[in-house]
Amino acid sequence: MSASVGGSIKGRATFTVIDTNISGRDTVWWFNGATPAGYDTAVTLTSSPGSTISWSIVSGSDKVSLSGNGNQAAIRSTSSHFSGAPGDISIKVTVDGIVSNPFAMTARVPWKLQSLGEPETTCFFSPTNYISVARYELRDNLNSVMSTDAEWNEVLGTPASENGSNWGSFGGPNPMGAATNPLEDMIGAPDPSVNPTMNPLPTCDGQNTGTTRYMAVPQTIRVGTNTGGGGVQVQQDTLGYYIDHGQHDGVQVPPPPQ
Amino acid sequence: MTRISVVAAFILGVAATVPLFGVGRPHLNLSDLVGDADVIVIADVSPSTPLKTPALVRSGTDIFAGHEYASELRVRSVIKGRCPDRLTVKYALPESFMGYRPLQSGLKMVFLRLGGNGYEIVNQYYPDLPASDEAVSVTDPLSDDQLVEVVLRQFANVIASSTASESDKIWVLMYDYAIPASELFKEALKKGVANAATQRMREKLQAELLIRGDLSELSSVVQLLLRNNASPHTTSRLQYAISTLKDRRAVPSLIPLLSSSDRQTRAAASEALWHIADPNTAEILLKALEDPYHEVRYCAVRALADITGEREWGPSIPEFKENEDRYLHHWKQWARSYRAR
Repeated sequence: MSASVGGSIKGRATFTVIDTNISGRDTVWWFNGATPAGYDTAVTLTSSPGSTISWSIVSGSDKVSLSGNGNQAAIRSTSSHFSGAPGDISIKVTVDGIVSNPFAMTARVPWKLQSLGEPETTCFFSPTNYISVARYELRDNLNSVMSTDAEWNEVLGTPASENGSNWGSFGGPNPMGAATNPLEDMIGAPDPSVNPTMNPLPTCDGQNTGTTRYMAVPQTIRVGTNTGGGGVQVQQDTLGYYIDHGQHDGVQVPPPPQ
Repeated sequence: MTRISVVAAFILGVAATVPLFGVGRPHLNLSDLVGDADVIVIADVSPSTPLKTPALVRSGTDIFAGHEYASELRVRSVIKGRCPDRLTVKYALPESFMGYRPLQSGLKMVFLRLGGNGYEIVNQYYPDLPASDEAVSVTDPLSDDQLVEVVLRQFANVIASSTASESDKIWVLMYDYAIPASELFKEALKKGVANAATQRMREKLQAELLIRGDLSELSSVVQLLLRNNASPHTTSRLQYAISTLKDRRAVPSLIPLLSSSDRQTRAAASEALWHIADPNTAEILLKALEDPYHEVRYCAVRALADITGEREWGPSIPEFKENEDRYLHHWKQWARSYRAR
């Protein structure tokens, strides 16, 4: 963005044009303290040099904070409010009395997981006889797909046996996280070859036809880091273990960020 | 599951546990997989045999108690390196589930390296990939990029095949993020649709074609959704595929979906119409403002804002939830002047 001064002068005269520019990334992200690669959680804006420089937020001061230092300004999310539309934050700088054009920015935050379809189940002999994969794409507060990997993690509650099974007594899965886009959560039942007293014994034909749940594990998924409990919560659900497949039950999407 | 740090494993044995957090299955990275392998073969893999040998399985800085297994490979083609026609691969799996999986039996591409105990699995998350029964002949050593091309061609062959298992096709579809846009793969998907043995498989392949921007199966998918005839295990995938459409040529097929009895189908169609933002859909979007499902109404509002350039009347989701009446009122007012033109 630039602003210029000058004018039309008849005859011979020195004509000076002074530009005041703002340059820098136009999107700032918030991951609740996490800093995944590929996402700017702090943006440095730079203006033209000058002796008197003043930065200000024209609109969107509830969405970003600004800390000016000479011809640079650090922009961070306030974490309380985020953009409702791309470019709805406006920054300006005044350099030696010359006011820049507004510099448009967007404050984004991960919002929710969008299912890519029903879980796919494949059959194995060990360490579990089925693996169901629930796949999601990650969306931000503007409902845009976050195409760069933001990392994810899960925190799991205590496994509970259901409907007369004893599956919960063999321990739950290990919480793990990995890459997003797609985010793939693998759900595998306890292994009957290691736990021969499992009742009932799981089966597998890849068709996901079981309707009775035998084990439930509360799950919270966050993105921004692989470290459990870190980052921004994007989904809460129950890992449901059925006779022939696993799935996410009772999915709760967080309210859209303001 | 016994999960212990490497140091604790040797000092304290299995009694010491660490917090149960870690890194799960990484995405399939074909360049890394072919680059890390000393040997890549297409082989008939025997069912794995448990060797009853306790083993420690390492994952990052953690190790897990597990057991050793062995599979016999009868090699059909060598894509990288050298190896005998028959070989044995030994590997360890943890006692409970952490994302590692065994070698699957059947015709597979197997990625191996030579270790102290013979042939070892390169990546326990991806010990094998689906392979087709079409012959592969490699005479000169291939670059890693060329090897990736061979793998992608195998994927395409599996998808197009009339004999490959449904399970193998599903594995390939789950690696969609690793398969770049190409006419080769689109053509394979089309052949796969024609060769599909089950309705479920056909619908999965149709969805993949739509997601990749190919409209050749759109009318068939629309009919499935309108009649609620899609397999219960693919309906949401088909709806997702519809929601991704950005091609104006899809509009005539999308409009009938707004009358579906399934609100998720209507939402998918309205999201696509929002992305496409075709001025000719204004009237149908105005009708969608009356839809009982709020997601449909929201997408209609956003689409109208994009079509007219009145972006200030295309609110964020929270703003719409809070002040929906205001936005609906605006667009209904706009409709009056629009219809009067």
